[in-house]
Amino acid sequence: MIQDPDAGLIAKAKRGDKAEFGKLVTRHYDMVYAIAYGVLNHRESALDVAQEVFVKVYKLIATFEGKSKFKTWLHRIAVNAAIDQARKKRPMESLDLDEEDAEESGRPPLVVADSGPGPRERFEQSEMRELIDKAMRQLSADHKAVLVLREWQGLSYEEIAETLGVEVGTVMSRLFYARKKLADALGPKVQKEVL
Amino acid sequence: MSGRSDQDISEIYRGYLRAELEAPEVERAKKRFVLENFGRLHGFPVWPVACFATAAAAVLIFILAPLVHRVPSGVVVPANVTMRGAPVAPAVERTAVSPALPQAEVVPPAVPDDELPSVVVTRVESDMGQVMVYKESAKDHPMTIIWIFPGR
Repeated sequence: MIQDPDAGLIAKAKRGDKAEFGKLVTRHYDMVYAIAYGVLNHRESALDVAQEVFVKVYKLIATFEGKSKFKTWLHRIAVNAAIDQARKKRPMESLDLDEEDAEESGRPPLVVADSGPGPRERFEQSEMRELIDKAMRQLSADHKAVLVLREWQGLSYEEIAETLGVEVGTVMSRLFYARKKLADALGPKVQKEVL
Repeated sequence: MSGRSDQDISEIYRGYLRAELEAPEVERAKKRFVLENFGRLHGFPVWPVACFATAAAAVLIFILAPLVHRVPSGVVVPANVTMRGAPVAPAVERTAVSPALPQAEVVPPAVPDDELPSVVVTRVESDMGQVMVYKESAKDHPMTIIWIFPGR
């Protein structure tokens, strides 16, 4: 049995204690929402998926055996729900990123620096969001799932492979491709600072 | 991609998600979902404040409501009489009622609604007896309501 920080709440939730399950929801909501948004890049859809995930987990909690951590189990349910939703509602748009598009639009360059404004302030700039959204639209749900599990959840390649049921090599290649797309989209902004 | 640019990409991506998570709409949706489905919020420091504010608002509404809405000047008194059953005429003696019109017909009220005393009763209880009588002593429209509590 794995030592799970959620074990106490899970035991009470299994006995039907809704309030204790609510504590689990509060604890993990951000993680589930981040995965959903990372895959869907659409707020309403991501909110729907996050709620569906917790409703599903509430129904299935009695079947959770504790062979893995609750968080790992939740990762799997969340990422599968998000990928399913992406395939169901939002077929991939085949937008090719025009590399000169951003430059031609006359947008001011956004500088990424180690000091200065924090991430939140930087991303309040809608231009940056648009660039990332544009890059995301070129990625499949599977690529975005790998990206969010690695970059946001900090999972290892092996953990991502187990969560998604794919080979480690597949995880690595998807991650490389996803990062490259992001780098291409943000290239001028990032490289300007690097150089 | 250089190592540095990899790091920047990661940081930018995390900032993108962090900004989304900190959006007020997302936070509100989270709180609403937990509240509506699991009863109460956990880990939100505003919860006791919200309880206190709600209680204070309820007290204020209770105090101020009579000042805002005109409360009818009726009184509720216990009736210490037993209600007698009225005899019902045999079926053959009852007055025939005309059949319902095929199409609904709106009949204007004899008295405009806005002149009627505004009485809203949502719950009635009797601690004093089987029968309660409510008397509204409005000048033009005197009214008496009798509640019978058969279970007592």
